[in-house]
Amino acid sequence: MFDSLLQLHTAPILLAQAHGAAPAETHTATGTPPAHAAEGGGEHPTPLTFLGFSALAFVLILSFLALGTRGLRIVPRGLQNAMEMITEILYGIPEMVMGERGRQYAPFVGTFFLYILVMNLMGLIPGLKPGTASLSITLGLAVVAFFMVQYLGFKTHGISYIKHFAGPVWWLSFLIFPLEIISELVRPMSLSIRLYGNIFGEEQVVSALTNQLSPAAAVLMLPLQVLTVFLQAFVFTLLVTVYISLATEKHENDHGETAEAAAH
Amino acid sequence: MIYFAALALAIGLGTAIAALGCGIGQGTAVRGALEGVARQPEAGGRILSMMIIGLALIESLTIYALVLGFILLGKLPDTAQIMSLLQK
Repeated sequence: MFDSLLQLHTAPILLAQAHGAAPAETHTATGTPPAHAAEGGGEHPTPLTFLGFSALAFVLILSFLALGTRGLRIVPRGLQNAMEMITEILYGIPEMVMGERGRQYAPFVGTFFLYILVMNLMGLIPGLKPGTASLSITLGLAVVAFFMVQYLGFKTHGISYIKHFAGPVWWLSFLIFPLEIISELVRPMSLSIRLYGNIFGEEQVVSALTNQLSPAAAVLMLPLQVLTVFLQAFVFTLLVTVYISLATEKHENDHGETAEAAAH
Repeated sequence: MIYFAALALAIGLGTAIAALGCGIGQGTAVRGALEGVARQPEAGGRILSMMIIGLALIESLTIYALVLGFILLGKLPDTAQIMSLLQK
């Protein structure tokens, strides 16, 4: 009986070795399935490929900025006009969450929004891949957001930022402390997996449709893709803003009753 | 063989069951939003924004199950390999 169980357990590894597909199987840790799953028949994308596309997004944003700030006028025209509209939106997001004091966090939060949006939009163009379709990149963004939130919390409150994790009453704090720490640590995971799952799943559906039906069928996914792209960038940014506002709120309201706390 | 059968069942049913809960949750959220807009149409824009954010958060729970499905999908071998395994 143990022999057959052991054979079942090692069967995939034996098959992989027999067919020389071992490199493809070991890449599942990063979330990219092997080439036979649903890929369009090209080579197997490594995290470096996605890093290259995210660098391309970075270069695109920089060139947009450089072109848009050339010859600044008081009454904006053309590219400068578009840039000012985008800046208004980027400042509006922290203001919507935190009010007036949100404007100081707008550069940090706005960078997330713009970067994720451009990376996601690149996935809609055939031939380019969205950088966020790699768990490495989304995890990197989420970890940066996590450390920034902790840093802002310590900067605002000093060492008594630890009291945020203690809950409302002090004699229950030894129970609530682990729960709050765990929920704080889970935030980067949920942020990264939400963004990664949405964009990567969208890409897989499009490639499955293209392979099984025809490329024209994948065009039908385009409206849903555009909605998802904008929505996921917005939700990531909004959640980071909410976490910042929770960590830096000055007045100690009742911990569970503000509208932002309900967005956990 | 049970391993592959159970794996295939898990892949097929995992996201489906998660989508069931997500459908119920998002339906409740949209019902609340529609009732709010029906009571006060001027608040339509703000209610729409909050509804969209709520829907994205509920949907992210199903996305977690979908990501697990993708990870498990990578552990399924090809049909040709299973056929050659069955022949032995």
